[in-house]
Amino acid sequence: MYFTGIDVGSTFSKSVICDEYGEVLGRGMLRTGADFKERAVQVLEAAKADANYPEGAPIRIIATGYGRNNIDFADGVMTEIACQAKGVFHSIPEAQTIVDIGGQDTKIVFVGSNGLVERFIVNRKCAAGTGAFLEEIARRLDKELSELAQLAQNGKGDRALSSYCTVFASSEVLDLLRRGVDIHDLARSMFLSVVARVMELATFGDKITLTGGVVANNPIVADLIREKVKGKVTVPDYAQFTAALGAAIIAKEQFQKQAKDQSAT
Amino acid sequence: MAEPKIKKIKSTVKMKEILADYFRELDEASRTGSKPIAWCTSVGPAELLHSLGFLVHYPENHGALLGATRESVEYIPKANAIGYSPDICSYLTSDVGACLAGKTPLRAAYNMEGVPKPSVLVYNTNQCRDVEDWFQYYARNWGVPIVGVHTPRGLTEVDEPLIDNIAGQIENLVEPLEKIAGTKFSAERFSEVVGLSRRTTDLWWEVLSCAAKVPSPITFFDGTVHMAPAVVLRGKSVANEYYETLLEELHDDIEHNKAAVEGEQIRLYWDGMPIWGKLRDLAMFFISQKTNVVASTYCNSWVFKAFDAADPFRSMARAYTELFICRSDYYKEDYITNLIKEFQCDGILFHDARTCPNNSNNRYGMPERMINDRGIPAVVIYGDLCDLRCYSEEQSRLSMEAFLEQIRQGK
Ligand code: SF4
Repeated sequence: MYFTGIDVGSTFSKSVICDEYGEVLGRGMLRTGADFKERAVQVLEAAKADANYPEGAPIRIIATGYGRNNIDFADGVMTEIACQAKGVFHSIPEAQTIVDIGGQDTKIVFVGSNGLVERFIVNRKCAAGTGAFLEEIARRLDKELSELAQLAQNGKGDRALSSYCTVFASSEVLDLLRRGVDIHDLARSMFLSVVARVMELATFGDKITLTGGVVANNPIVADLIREKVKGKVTVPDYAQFTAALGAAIIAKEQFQKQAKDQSAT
Repeated sequence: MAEPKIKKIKSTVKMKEILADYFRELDEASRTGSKPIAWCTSVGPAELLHSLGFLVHYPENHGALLGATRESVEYIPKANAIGYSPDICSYLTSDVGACLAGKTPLRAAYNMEGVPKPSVLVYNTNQCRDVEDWFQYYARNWGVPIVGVHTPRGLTEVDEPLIDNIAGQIENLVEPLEKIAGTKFSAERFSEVVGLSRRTTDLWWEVLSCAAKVPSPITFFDGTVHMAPAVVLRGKSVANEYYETLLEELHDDIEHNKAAVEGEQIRLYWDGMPIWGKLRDLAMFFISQKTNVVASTYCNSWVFKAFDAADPFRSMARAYTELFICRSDYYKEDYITNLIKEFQCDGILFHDARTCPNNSNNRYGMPERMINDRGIPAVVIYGDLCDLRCYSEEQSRLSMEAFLEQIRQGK
């Protein structure tokens, strides 16, 4: 039996396949684009190929993420909040605060020592503090985001871009350039701004786990968060896949519970 | 998956009739000038106005109608364009915008000529300052007299000196209102109206209390519709007759175990304004999640337990000052906690309405206190009463679904 989670996020779609012990067998990732269902099919195929999945073998699928309700071939749907908690707790089984910085939103999930969601926070509608914000500023500076992340490593200062609004922040960047601020410092400011927007969402506990594409692709973000918080900050391997992994684990648990219930009756 | 079905409430037919009669009478008076019309804020001194022979129009009711028909989205920008900010009350901006456009949903819904023309504008700032600013717009532009009661807010205790003050302010309205209405104040008639209002609000509370039953025969979304008589017809015997009919139906549902949400599993408390343009979508969403929103601050806001026909001025002052919206967070948190217990709710959903800080109780740390100090699960969704530009369907849905998953995992 194979268990799969498909996480159709606003920017990337991810899929994870695991076995009945929760061991990961394969992963797939593609840009989401406009057709959620088609992308879900493709990303599932990619994960199957990675897992050497024997065509026709029984498989259970849980869909999650922004496009979760479009995946009509899934056996169930769960939010990315529940899936993040499940996926992260699977590899780090302790009470913690998960900070997931995605393409278009940021979520904070407080997980108890039993792995249950105690509380969560989703950022308000605007893009500040998300991947979309970073991409917008990179576009404004005519640079690749990865290049800016590199530059930021050598930046100095503690000045975050101050505006809540992505458009205002873009003009703030222009103003800083006009004033001749060093590009390294500017890049650092831009990442500090993401960190500031995230930190004002909640008070974190002493164990913090960072997930999502922004963290996975830009190690500077985790470095800056470490500078700001007292607690221990962990970035799990495959930090972009944690929700998809959680969905796969939920698929496994639901299946095993059903089997157990059936054998009991 | 089959579309979830909303359980029909049969009495709705009767409610529509009495509301149609109410609007017909207003329209007739507006066309012919046969009776004076007062515009009144939803928790303003309506009983006094009725006793003086005014017909009463409630602009907030019009705002809700603009929101529910989603016409607000078209009119709000017109008010924004003349300087009324998109950040202030979207009832105000919807209503003023509709006026600027010369439009009203009352025409299509009740065949009215337009919004009833006021002889006087009467407000109470117990709920917010926006109502005064709103009425001032019409006072300035139409030269209509405006009077009001100024009530302090953020109250933990409602003490006697405060009641003296508010009762005094209401008494001071009598003389100018007599002049406008061309009638003489009758203490007897006033006391009679206050008595009728008390009956209306007692019956309305009985209706809401039906939702304390498990499973509940009624939802918050039903409540936002069926509260109309408590809002616009309180103090009239038709409202009381209506609620008696509705109660009979609900008691029958309870007796036969008829649930408003089939297979009800989760029960929630809603704090904050309704999202008028999304009522149906939200009702369907919760049905699909086997969840019933059984209690709310909003629907309870028209329960005035203080009304006393024997002491009309002071009891009215008390009723309109001890409202939830005028109170401190200490009071509000106790109030909500008691209702959550009484209605056996699993959690509380706060609606942060962008343009109504007065009804957005999440903004000063209340959800955190509910969770941390009282162990009540809470979630916040961001939207608005009328301005759907402030509402993100996807983000709200994610928060609500995740919240229900969170509650289910603990069950
Ligand atoms: S309380 Fe809120 S919704 Fe009601 S009139 Fe005031 S600002 Fe508008």
